[in-house]
Amino acid sequence: MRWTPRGSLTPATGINPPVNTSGNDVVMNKEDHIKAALESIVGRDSLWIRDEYSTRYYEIAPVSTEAIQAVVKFANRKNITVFHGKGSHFSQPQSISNHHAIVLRLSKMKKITAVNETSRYAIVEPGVTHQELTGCLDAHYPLLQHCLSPDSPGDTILDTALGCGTNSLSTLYGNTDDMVQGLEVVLPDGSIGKIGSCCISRLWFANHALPDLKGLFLNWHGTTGIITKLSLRLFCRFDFNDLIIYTFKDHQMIPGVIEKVTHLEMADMVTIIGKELPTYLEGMIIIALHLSGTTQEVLDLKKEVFKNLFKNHKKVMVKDCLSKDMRNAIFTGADSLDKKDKASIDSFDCLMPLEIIPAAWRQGIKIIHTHPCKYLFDFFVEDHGHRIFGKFTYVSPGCAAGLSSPVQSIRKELRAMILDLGGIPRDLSEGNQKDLVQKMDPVTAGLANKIRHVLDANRIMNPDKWRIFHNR
Amino acid sequence: MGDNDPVYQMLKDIVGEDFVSNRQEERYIYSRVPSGTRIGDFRYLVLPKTVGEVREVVKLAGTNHIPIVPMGGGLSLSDLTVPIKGGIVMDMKRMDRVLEVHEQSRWVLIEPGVTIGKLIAYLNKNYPRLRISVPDAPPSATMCGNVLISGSGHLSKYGFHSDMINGLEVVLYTGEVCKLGSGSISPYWFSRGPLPDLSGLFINWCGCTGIVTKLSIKLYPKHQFRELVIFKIEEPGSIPDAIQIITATGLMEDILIFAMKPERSHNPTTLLLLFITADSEKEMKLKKNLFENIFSDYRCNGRRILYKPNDLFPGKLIHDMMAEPKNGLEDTVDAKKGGGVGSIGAIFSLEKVPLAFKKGLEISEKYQFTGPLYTIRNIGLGHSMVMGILYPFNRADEKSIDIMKKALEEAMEMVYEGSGVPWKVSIDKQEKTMKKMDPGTCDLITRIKHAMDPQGIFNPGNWDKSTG
Repeated sequence: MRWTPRGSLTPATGINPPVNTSGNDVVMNKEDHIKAALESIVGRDSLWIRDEYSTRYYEIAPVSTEAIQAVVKFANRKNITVFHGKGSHFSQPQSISNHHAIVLRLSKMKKITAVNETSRYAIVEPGVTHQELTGCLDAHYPLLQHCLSPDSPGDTILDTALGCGTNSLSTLYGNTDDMVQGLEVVLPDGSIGKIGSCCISRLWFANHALPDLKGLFLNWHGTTGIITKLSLRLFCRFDFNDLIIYTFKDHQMIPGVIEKVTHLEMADMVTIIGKELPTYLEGMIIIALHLSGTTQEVLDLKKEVFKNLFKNHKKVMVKDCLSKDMRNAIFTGADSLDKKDKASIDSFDCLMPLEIIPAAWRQGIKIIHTHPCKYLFDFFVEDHGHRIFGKFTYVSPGCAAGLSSPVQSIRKELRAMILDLGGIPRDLSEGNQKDLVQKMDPVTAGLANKIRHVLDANRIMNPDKWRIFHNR
Repeated sequence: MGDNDPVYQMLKDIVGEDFVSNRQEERYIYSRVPSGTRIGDFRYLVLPKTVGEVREVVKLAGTNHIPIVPMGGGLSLSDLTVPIKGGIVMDMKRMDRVLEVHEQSRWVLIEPGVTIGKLIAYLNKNYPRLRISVPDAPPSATMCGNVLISGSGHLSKYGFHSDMINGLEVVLYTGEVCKLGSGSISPYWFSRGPLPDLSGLFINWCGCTGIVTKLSIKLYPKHQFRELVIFKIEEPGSIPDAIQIITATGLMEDILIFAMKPERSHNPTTLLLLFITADSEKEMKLKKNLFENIFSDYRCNGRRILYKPNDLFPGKLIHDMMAEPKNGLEDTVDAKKGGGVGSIGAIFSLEKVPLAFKKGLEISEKYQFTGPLYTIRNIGLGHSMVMGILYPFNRADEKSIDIMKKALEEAMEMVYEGSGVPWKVSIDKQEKTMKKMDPGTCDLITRIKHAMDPQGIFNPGNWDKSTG
C-alpha cells in the first residue's frame, strides 16, 4: 500500500524564509530552518510541508544521489527522522524524533542510467517501474527482457528487489533480489556506499568476491540506507511462449508434482492455483507452466518433455491448448471479482517450503470456510522449488466492503497457521514483525539490531520498520 | 611444552587431548597452503567436534586476545587460511555430519567439515535425484569453505555458490551461537528472506566475522544423462558471442572455456566445453543436435567456432572433464614439477573477456609459461565470467618463485585495468583492492568488520587496510 497524504497541506511556495548561513539555530525557528535547508537542496518545487499527528513533516522529491546525500547528512545532524520507500508513512508517530520528519519521494529519480547488452544488466534509479523498464527494453533492446513483477507492473523495481519479490522468471532464476548485481546506497550518516563490482570497476556486472554487503540492504525495509541506483540482471527475450496446464484433485500430490516439474529445469514460471470461483474450478488443483524459447525448436522441445511427464499418470490431466474463457477463469485474479461482485477481498502472503503445502492448503481452506468466504490460492514456485510464495486470497462474494470483520480474523488465523507449520509470513508491518521476532533466535535478533546500530546509530532511517529488534 | 602452557591446557579441556596440538610437525603442515606462496606460524591447532566446543574455544580466544583461523580443507590457493598473526588454527574437519536433506524442497544442512567428496557420495547413495553444484576443487575441499568464498561449479548458470546459501549457523566473537535465514524462526532452512539478510556478513569475509558451524545449501536436480559437447574457438574475440548464443537457450548445464598453450607455439588452443543434461535419450539427442548446429553459420573476423566430436580427444581428457569431483588437477598444479602454483582469480563482465584473454597471453609469453593458461566459466546467463589463471612454479627454485610472483603482480594489474573484480583475493591483494575501492565502501567494510569482531581475533589480517 502506498503512502497517501492525510494531514493538512502547507504549500512551500510563496514563502521565502531567511537563509541561515551562520549555523546558529537560535536565529531562526526550527521549522523555518529545516524548510530553508531542504529548499536549498531540492528546490521549492520539490518540497511540501504537512502536519499530522502533531508532527510537522517535510515531503521532498529529490532528483539526484547528491541531493539525497545532502538531505540525509542534514537530517542526521539535526536528528530528524527520514522516511522513504514503499509504505513509508506515519503509522507510528511516536517513532519520530523531535516532532519533525522528512519523507523522501523517489519518484522523480526515474533514469535508466545504463543498459549493458552484452553482459545483460540495467542500472536503474529508484523511481523506475517495471513497466518503464519493459518499455525501454522494448524500444531499444528488443533482444532483452527483465524479470517482470507479475502482479504489479507499476511497482518500482527497487521495491520488488528489496522485498524478496517474485517475478516472471522466479522459478528458474530466483527472486528479484537474487538478480541484483550492485547497489549505490546513501547510508544513514550521509556517506555513499557502492556495493558489488561497481565499488572497484566502472561496470556493475557482479556482486561477488568482495565482502558481501548486499545483504545489509535486502529485506531491511530501508532502515539501513537509501538505494539510489540498482543494477538488475536482464535476460534474453524469449519470443516463443506457451502454456501447459496440469490438473488434479488431491492436494497431497502437489509437492510430488512440483518436484517432478522443477526437476526438468525448463519452466520459467510455475504457479499452483486453486479457487472456488468460478464454481466449476472448485476442488481442482491447477499447475500452470509458462514455457519459452528463443526459437520454436527450443519451445517445442520443452513442450514435448512436459507433455510426456505425466503421460501415463492416471490422476494428472495435461492440457496444452486452453480456450480463452478457461484461461481467463484460471488466471483472473480477485480484483476482477471485486468489481463484478462487490466482494470483500483480502489476502495473506507467505514463504514456505514445498513439503508443508498440503497441510497449508488443507488448513487454509478450513480457516477460510469457517467464515462466509471463498478461497483463491495462487502459489508461486520460486527458485526450482526451494521455496514457495503462497498467496492465500479470501473473498466474501456480495459482501459490502464495510463487512470486513472476517478478514482480520482470517488473516490472523492464517498467519498463526503458517508460522506453526514452519513458513514465514511476508507481511512484515510493525505488528506482524512482533510475533516473528518473538519466535526468532534471540542472538539473531540481537545481531540484526547491532548491525542496524552500526549503520544508523541515531535511528533516523525508517524507524517504524524492524523496530522490534530493538525492543525485543 | 604443552603441560606448562595454560592456554594449551584449557584447549585440551575443551576438545580433548587428542584434538589439540602445538607440535612443530603439525604446525609446519598447517602453516601453509598448497600453493606454497605464503607461510605463517601459529601456536595451537584444535579440532573441535561440536558447536559447543567451537564456542568455548572462541570464548577462550576472546578472553586471552588470541587470533583464531578457521580452516576447512586448507586447499585455497589464495592464502586464506594461512595464520599470519599466530594464535589458534581451528580445523573444522571433525564437524563433518550431513544433518538433514530435504528431498522435495532440495536443500541440505551440513557441518563445516563436510567435504565435497563426502557430500557427493552421500547424495549419490541416498538421494540419487539430487546434486550439488560441484566445484572444480579436489574432493577433500570442504563444501562450506568453497561456498563461503563464492566458489563456482557445474551449476553456476544459477550463480556463484554463495548464491546457493539458504542459511547459516555461526559462532560470533562473543561465543554466542546465531542462526541466520529461515532457520532462525523455523525448523526449515529453506530461504534467506524475507528476513533481513544477515548471511552476507559471513560470505567472502574469509572468516573474519565469525565461525560458521552449520550451512544450509540448495540442491538441484540430478539428471540421468550428462554429456560434453566440445567446440574449438579459433578467435578469442568470439567468446562473448559464443556465451550469448548458448546461454540464450538456457538449456546448458555449464560452460567452461579452457585455454592451453603448447610449448613452442604462439597461439593457445582454446576449447569451449559445453555440458548438457537430460532425463531421456531422446531429450539428450534433441539438445545435442541443437547445440551441434548452433554455430554452423558463425564467423568472427573470418574465424569460426567449430564443433569437435569427442572422439577426436583422448578418452582420459573427456573422462577427467566429466568427473565429479574433478580429476586431474594435480597435473595442472604440478606442471613445473615443483609442487607450487600461483593463482589469480577474477570476475569479468562478458565483453571484457577477449581483452583479458589477450593481456593474459602477453604475460604468459613474457614469462614463458606454457601448458594450461586459463579456465573461464560462465556465471548466470552470461552475466559474468570467472577467469582463473594459474602460474605453476617450483618451490625449490627461487628464480621460479620470483617469476611466478612477477607474473601474478602483472596479472592482478590486468584485472584492475580490465574493469574486473579480483576473486578469492589473497591477503596481500586484499589491501590493494581496498585501496582501489570506493572509499565509502571500504569504510563500510571496516565498520562492519569492527562491529563483528571488535578485538580482531577472527582470521586477522583479512580485509584489513593495514595488512600487506
